[in-house]
Amino acid sequence: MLFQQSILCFIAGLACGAGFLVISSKSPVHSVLSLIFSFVLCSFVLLTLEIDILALIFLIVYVGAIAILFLFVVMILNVKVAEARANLFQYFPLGFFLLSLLYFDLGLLMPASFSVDVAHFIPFYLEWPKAVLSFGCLESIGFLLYTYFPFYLIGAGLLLLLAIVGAILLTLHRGVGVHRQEVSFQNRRDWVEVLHMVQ
Amino acid sequence: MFPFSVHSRFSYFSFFSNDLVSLLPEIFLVCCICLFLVHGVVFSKTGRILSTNVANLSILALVFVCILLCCSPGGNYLAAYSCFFEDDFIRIIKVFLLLTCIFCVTLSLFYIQLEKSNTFEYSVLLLISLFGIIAVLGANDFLSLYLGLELQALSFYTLAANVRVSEFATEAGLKYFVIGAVASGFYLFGASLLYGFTGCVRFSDFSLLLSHIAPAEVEGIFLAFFIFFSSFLFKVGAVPFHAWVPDVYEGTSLNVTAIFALLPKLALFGVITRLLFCYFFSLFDVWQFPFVLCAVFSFVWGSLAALGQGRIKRLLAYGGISHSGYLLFGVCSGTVYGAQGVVIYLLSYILSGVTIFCSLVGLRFSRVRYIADFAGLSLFSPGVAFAIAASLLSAAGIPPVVGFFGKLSIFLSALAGSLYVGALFGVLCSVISTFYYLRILRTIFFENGSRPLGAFFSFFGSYFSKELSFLVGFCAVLLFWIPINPRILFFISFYSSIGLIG
Amino acid sequence: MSWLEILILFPFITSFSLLIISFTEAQKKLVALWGALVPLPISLFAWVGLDHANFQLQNIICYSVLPGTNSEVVLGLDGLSAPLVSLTCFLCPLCILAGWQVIRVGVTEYLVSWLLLEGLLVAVFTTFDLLVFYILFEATLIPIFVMIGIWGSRLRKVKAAYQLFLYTLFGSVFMLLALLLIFAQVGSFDYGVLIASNFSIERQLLLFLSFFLAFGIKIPMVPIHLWLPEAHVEAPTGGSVILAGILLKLGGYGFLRYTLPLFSEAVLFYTPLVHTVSLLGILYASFTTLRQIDMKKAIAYSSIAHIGVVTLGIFSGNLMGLVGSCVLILGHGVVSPGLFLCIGVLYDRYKTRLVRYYGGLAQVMPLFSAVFLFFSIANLGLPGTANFVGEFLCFSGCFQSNNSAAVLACSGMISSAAYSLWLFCRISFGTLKTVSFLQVADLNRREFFMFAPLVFITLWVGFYPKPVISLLFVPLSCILELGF
Repeated sequence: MLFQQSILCFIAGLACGAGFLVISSKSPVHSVLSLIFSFVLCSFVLLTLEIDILALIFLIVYVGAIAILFLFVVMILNVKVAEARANLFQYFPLGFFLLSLLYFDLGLLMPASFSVDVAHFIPFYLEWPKAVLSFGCLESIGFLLYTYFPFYLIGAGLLLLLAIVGAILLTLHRGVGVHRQEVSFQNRRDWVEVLHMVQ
Repeated sequence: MFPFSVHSRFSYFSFFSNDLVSLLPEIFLVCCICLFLVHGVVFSKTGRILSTNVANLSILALVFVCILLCCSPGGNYLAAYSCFFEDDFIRIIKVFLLLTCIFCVTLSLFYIQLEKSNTFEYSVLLLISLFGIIAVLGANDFLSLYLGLELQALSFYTLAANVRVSEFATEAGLKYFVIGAVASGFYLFGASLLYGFTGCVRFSDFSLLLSHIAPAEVEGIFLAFFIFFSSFLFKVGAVPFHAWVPDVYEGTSLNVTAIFALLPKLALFGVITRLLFCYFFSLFDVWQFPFVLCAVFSFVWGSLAALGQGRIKRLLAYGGISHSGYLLFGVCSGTVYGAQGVVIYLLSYILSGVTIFCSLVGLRFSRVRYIADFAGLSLFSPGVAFAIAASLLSAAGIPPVVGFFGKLSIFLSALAGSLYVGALFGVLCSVISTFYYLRILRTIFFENGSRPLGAFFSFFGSYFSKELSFLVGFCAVLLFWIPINPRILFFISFYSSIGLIG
Repeated sequence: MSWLEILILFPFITSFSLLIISFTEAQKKLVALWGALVPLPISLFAWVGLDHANFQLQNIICYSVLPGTNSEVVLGLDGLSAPLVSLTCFLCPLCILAGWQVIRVGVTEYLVSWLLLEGLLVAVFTTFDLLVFYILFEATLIPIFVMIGIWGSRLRKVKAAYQLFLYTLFGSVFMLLALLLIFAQVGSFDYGVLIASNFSIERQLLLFLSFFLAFGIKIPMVPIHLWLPEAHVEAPTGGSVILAGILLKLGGYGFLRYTLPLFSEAVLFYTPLVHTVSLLGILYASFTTLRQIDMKKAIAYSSIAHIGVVTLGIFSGNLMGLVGSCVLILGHGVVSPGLFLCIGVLYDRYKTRLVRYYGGLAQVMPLFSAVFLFFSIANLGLPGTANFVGEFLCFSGCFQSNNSAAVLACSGMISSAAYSLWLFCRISFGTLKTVSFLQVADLNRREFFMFAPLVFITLWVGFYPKPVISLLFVPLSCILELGF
C-alpha cells in the first residue's frame, strides 16, 4: 500500500512539474510538449488507481487528439517567443492565494475519509460462474452504451456533428455575389441565339 | 446469463416502443436536422443560396414538431431508460419553446434576407440548439442534462461568432465561449461531487434519497449543490455571474441576440424550477436564502445599471438580468404560486421579447443602435412605435399589459412565501426599471431628434417583411388582449404548475 | 348586454372604429364626440335608476376568470360610484371639445386616447374587484402620460409626464404589495369578501399606510404633491380638465371605497396624521397659490387646497363629513374643470399663461370674464355654488371630530378667497395690456356650450343639493357603518 501510494505521489508530482513547465517555458512548442507529458503522467496516475479505461481514454482523447492538434496549430502558426512572459510572475501571489483558498475550502468541506479503501472492493472468494459469464471492461461499456444509453451516444454524436458544422460555418466563406463557372450551362448555350452582330 | 438481471423490468420490446412514441417529436427533430444538413450540403454545391430555403424548411419542421408534441400521449412518463422525463409542465414549456423558436427563425429569415448572408447552417444550428434545449428541459440525470446544455451552448458559441467580419461578434463569441466553458466546468464539478457524495445520478433518486435522509447527514452535499447550481446561474445571467450578458448581447447580431435572450431563459428556468421544486426541495432551507440574495441583487443591479445605458441592446441586456432576478425570485418562494408565477412571467417575457426584437430587426436598416436613434419613430411608423411601447410597458410591468400579470404573480408568490423584504425591493426596482423603459418611450413619442428617422422612412418606406409585420402585430395585440381575457394565461400556468407538483 | 357593459364598452368600440375606419378629420372629431357623449345619458339613467334605499351593488355583472373556481370579477354600480361615472361621462366630451381646434398633430391618436381614458375611468369606478381596480387605476396613467407628453405645450412637458407617471407608480406599487398581502390572507380580491374579512391591527396599520401612499399621491396630499402642478401646467387643456376633474378624485374614491371600510381600526389610528397632512396641504397650498405667476399653476395649487378639505371630510368619521367630501368631490370636479377651460380659452388665443401679460380683459371679452368670475367665486366656495355645500358639510363634519383642525382649515380657506379674486382681478380688470389687442374675440359658440352645463350644474347643486345628497346618503352611511 505504501509503495503504491509513494509511486502515485511521485507520478503526481511529476505531473505537477510538467504542468508548471507548460506555463513557464518560453517556447509554445515546449509548452505543448510538456502538456502532453503531463497528460501521459496523469494517465499513469489513473492506471495506478486501477481505472484503466479512463487512463486509455485520457491517452486517446487528450494526447492523441487534442494535444497533437494543439501542437500542429502552434507549429503552423510559427509564434515567436512571447515578450509578455516577463511579467508572468506578477500574478503568482494572487494565483497562489486563490489556489490555497480553494484547497483550504475543499479541505474544510470535504469529508475526511474521501480516499477509497481499495481492499474493500477485493472479493474474498471468486464466483467462478460469474467470472466466466461476465463481460470484460470494454464489453460492459459497450453493453451499457448501446443498450441502456443509446440516447447519450446519439447526443454525443450530434455534439460532434455540431462541432464540425460550427467550425465550417466559422471558417468557410460563401459570398453571395460570387460568379461561378457552370460548365454544363455554358456548353448548353446556343451560340447562334446568343451572338449578335452589332453594326 | 444476463449480467444486469437485477433490472428485471427491462424488456426490449416495451423499451423501444414506448420510447418511439414518447420521444417522437425529438426524434423527428433530429431527423430533420440531419436531412436539412444533407440537403444544404448537396444543393449548395451548385452555387444556390439556400439560407432562405433552409430557414423556411425549418419553420415547417418546427410546426410539425409542435403538432407532434401536442398530440403526444400526455401524462408523466420516463423515456429512454429514464434518461428523459416528461410531464405537463415540461410539455407546455416545450410548446412555448417551439413557438418562440418559430418566431426566432422568422425574424432571422428577415435578417438573413436583409444582410444577404449565405449560410444555411444558421438554421440548422438553431435547430440543433433547440434540440439541446429540449433535452435540457426533459433531462432526468446529470449526463442527459449536460449533453443538452453542451448542444445548446456549442451552437450558441457558433451563432454568436457567426458574423465573421465583425470584431464585436468575434469578441462576443469568444467571451460567451469562455464563460460557457467555466459554467460547464462548474456543472461537471458540482455534478461529480454530488455523485461522489450520494452515489445518485438520476434526479428522481435525489428526491428519494433526500426525503429519507436528513440533508445534513450527507456530507458535503451543500457545497456540491451550490457549485452545481451556480452553473445555471451563469447561464441565466443572475447577478454574481452576470458580467458577460451585456457584452454578448451587444456584440452579436440582432437575430442572434433575440435567440440568446429568449430561448435559453425559457428552458433554463423550466429546468431550474423543476430541479428545485421536484428534486432538491428537501434542501429548501439551504437554497432559499442564497438564491433570494442572488435574485434581489439581480433585479437591483439590472435596474440600476440599465439607467446609465445609451445603447438599446445593452439596456435590454440589463433588463434581461433583472428579469432573471424576478424569475429566480419566483422560484425562491417555494410555493405553487411561485411555479405558476414563473410560467406566467416567462410567457409575458417571451411575448414582449419577441415584439421588441422583431421591431428592432425591422428597424435594422435604419441602424437604430442608441436609444436616441428612436427619436420621431411615432411620427413615421406609428404601428412599430405602438408595438415597441406595448412590449416595453409589458417588460416594465405596467398594469394593462401582460407583463403586469407576471410581476403580480411573482410578488404574490413571494408574499405567500413570506419574502417581504425581497418583495419590497422588487417592487421598488420595478419602479426604477419603469424609469428607463419610459425613457425609450419618451424618445419614441415625444422627441423629434437630430438624426431624423424620417429621412430613412420617407426614402425607403417600411422595411418590414409581411411575416415580420404579422409577427409584431400579433404579439403586440396579444400583449393587450391577454389582460382583457386572462383566463387562458391562468389556465396554462395553473395546469403546468399542477403538472410540476403532481 | 346590460347597460353597464354598453357604458364601459361604447368608448372602446368607438375608439377602435376610429382607428380602423378612415374618416376625414372633421368626421373623426364628431364620431369621437358622440362616442364620448352617448355614455352620459346612460350613466345618468343608471344613477337615477338605482335603488337608493339599497346600499348594495346593483346592475351587477360577473365575469369568471378561471372556470371552475370562484374567482370572479364583479362590475356594478352603487350610490357612491354612479355620480363619479356620470361626472366622467360628462367631462370627457368637454375635453374633446376643448381640443377641437387646437390639436393639429395626431388628431386620431388624441381622440382615441380620450375615448380610452373615458372607458378606463368608467371601468375603474364600476369595478368591485381590488385587483381590477388596481389595474385600471394604473392603466389610466398611460393615456394621460401620452396626452401630456405629446400634446403638452412646452419642452418641460416630458419632465411633467415623467413625474406624473413615476410618482403615481411609486405610490401604487406599495398598494400592489398590500393587495398581494391581502390576497395571501383572504384568498380573493372580491370587494364583498374583503369587506367581510378581518385583518389584525398590525397588518391593518401596514396596509393602510400602503394604500394611503397610493391614494395620497393620486389625490395629492402635500409632501407628495409635486407632480400635480407640473402636470397641470404642461398638459393640454383637456388633460388639465380631466386631471382636476376625475383623476385626482380617484384617490378620494379609493379612500372612501377601500380604505375606510377595510382598515377601520387603522383609520382611527391614523386620523390625526391625515388631519395634520390635510391641514398642512390646505395652508401650504393656499399660501403657495398667492405667489404663482402661471395661471394654471395657481389653479393647480388651489385644487390641492380643496382636496385637503376633501380628505378632512373623509377622515372626519361622521356622515356629515363623508357626504360633504363627496359633494365637494363632485363640485370641485365641475368647478376646477371650468377654471381650466377658462385658462385654455385664454391660452388658445394668446399662447401664454403668465398672469403679467393679461389685464383688462373684461373690456374686450365680457362674456369670458363673467364666466371666469363665476368659476373663481365658485372656487372660493361662495354660498349658492356646489363647492359651498361641500365645504360647509366637510368643515362641520370635521368640527365634530376635531374642532381645532376645522378652525385652522377654515381660516386657511380665507386665503383661497384672496387668490381666486386676485387672479381674476389681475386678468380681467385694469388697463388693457398690449398682448390683448392682438385678438379680441370673446367666447365662440363651442366654448359657450362647454361652459354652460358646468355653470348650470354648479348653480343647481349649490342651490338645491338635496337630490345629490339624498342619493349619497345610503352608500356613505353604509361605509360609515362598516368603517367606524
